[in-house]
Amino acid sequence: MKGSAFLARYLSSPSAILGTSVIVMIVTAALFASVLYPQDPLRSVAAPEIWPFVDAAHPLGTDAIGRDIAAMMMHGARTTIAIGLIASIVASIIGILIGAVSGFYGGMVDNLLMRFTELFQIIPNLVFLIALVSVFGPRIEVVVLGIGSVSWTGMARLVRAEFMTLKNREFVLAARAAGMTDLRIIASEILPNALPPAVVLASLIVGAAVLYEASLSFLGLSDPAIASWGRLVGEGRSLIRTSWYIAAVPGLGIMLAVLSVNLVGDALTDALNPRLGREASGS
Amino acid sequence: MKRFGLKTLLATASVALLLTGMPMMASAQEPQSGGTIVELVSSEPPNLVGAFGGATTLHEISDKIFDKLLEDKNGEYEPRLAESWEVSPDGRTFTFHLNPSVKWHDGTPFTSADVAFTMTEIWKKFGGILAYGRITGVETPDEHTVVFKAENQIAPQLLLGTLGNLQGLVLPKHIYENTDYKANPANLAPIGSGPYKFKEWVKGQYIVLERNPDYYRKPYPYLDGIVVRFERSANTRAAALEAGDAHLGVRSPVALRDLDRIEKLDNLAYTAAGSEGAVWLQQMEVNLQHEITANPLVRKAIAHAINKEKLVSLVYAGHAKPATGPIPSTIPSYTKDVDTYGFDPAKAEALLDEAGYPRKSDGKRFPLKLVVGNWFETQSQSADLIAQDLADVGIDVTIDKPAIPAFIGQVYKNYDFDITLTNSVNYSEPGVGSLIWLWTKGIIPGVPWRNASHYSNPEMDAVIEASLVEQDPSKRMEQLHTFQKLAARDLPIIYLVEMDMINVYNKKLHNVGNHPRWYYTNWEDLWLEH
Repeated sequence: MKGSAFLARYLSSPSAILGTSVIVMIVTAALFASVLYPQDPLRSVAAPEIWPFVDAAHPLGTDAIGRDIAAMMMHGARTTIAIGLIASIVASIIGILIGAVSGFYGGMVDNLLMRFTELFQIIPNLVFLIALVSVFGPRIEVVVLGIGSVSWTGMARLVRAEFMTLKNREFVLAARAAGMTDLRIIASEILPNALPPAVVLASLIVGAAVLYEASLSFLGLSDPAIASWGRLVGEGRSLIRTSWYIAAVPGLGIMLAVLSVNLVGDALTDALNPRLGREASGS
Repeated sequence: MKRFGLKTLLATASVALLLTGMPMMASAQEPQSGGTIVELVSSEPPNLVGAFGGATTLHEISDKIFDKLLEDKNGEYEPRLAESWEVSPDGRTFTFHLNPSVKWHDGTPFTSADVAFTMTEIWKKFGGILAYGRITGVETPDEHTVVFKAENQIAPQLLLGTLGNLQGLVLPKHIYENTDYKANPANLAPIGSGPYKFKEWVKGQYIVLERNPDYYRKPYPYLDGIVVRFERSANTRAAALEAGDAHLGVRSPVALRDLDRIEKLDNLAYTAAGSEGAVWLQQMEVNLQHEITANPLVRKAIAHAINKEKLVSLVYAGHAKPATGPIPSTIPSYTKDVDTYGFDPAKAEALLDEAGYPRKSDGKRFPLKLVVGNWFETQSQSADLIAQDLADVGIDVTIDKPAIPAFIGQVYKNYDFDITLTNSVNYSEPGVGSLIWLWTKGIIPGVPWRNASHYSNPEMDAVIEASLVEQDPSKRMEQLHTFQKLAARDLPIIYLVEMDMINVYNKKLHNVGNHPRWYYTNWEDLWLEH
């Protein structure tokens, strides 16, 4: 696959451009958080409940105890990105490992690993996450690893399916005939061909991870020392009748972040798999 | 024509209503009988018998169903099940003359045997209550007289203040005798003697209490019934009150910042009255078993570093006031003549330097773990502000907000904290809830809301123990003042704010908050305009 052709296909989709630009905005906000708001964003810096666009010093207003919402949004963007990316990477690593071994070897190994995967699939993810955080404490590391450990099952099943279809193709048989070890066949022959759908799924896991973290912080179960959008929504909800912006601003942030990640994911699918895109669109 | 006729009729009717309404308005404060109200509470209790101890909601409901010998109104005692009582001059014999006309809700007469049974089998066995622990004998000379005897003296206020509080609810002997008390089915469908009878409990939704027609204090109760509905979310509670689906919520049922909006509504009002004799303090326990916080200079520095006024204005939206000590300002034995710690970061820094903890190259002096009892939103908000205040003087605070059962284990069993953020409820009689936090005998691993600081001072113990037996009210007052002075001097607990407990109610409801411990009383005189 040629890079420029891929890029051209990717950029031909308006939703991809939209999604990418929102993500670029969020990344920019995260990068400049410490420049614009060097202080701890959880500091109370002004009067409580200043509405957005009223006080230039606090463009997005302040919350119930006078914390600057813009500062919390920008620092929260870092949390969102960090959690989304790291959790997705963790999930992808676990999922690819289990899926690859399972799909490549089949038989008893496959059977065992898939039962193990199902074990995770049948536990409601959020409940499992809450249990993890309750046991190991609401620290950001626990939250990230927890989200990663509940999000890998889809990846495992997808990679397994890819491996099962790819492992009997001629190029794999040829590699086998050439005397390659299993590990080399998995890593250098099959995996690169199985990756495109995995990359798409990984991008969707980013979106799901952001939502999980938001749900946890909404429930007050995330790291209390860190600003995050979900936490802001959770803390703002008690004032929803009067100062609804406290919950609405970060809520909008979460929505845009997850939406853009999904748009990018869709565009990646089309770009990585042009035939599928053409067939689907009927051209 | 017909429409015109109807209109005229309506107009005439409303004028008539207005005219007749005027004298009615004038006498509107005459209580009316009848009507059922809906009260919203945040959590569902495990059972309805407060005598075994338990959460606040449990006591709130239990107090409507059961009755006590007497009622403590912030140091004044009113007769209830007991019509009168005598205390022997040596403080060893307490004789109660019971009201002969009282019946349990199932029709069985109430007698001295019930009181004797409750004392020996329930009060002395459950709850670890200071006053009852000192009772050594119970006698029932006749059906309507009960005598409590103590080998060692008991301060009369301590015993009366306990009997007249939520620890004084009398249980029926004929229901509980020879049963496993805590597993008795009546714990879920109680039979009491109070103004309201238990009617129905739909788990997860509501409890229905109905008027006890045989209640011995006529004309009470005014209401036909109380529906206690469980509603977790403050927003939903606010909406239900606003829509008229509910009449009442106690102990700050809505977000404090939402009260300004509530006040402007036509049908709702709020009051902070009704908790003067059951005051919630927000306080910080300091772990004296840890090297740094064992240093009194460090504790004083922490006290000076925390901006209580800011907590009041930002977290409590003004519905609180800074606390000075273990006994709140509305309690009769309060004294303001104690060491106080105004907001003074410079002084805090000087104290920390003096204590031998200078700022290091990174600007920090030492780390502290703040463990937060996270049951109110105000707790978590306060923790954030306090962490900032302490960071400003170089103390690096890590906030830990465990779930409530984990909090209790961590703080009161494993003592795994440097400082905490918790609440205590302090009653008119300090012996009920205030003394135990600072008494050496209050160090009981595994029992929550006790001396987790591990504060042990013989001087303090002597004062506390003297106040438990003192017969002279003015000497006892002095002892309680000394108790407060020592607490404020040694600071094993840093007292932050006295919280207003707000009742939000429909304006048609009358007599809300008319007792210093209102949310824990039986609401016999609560009435609904209709």
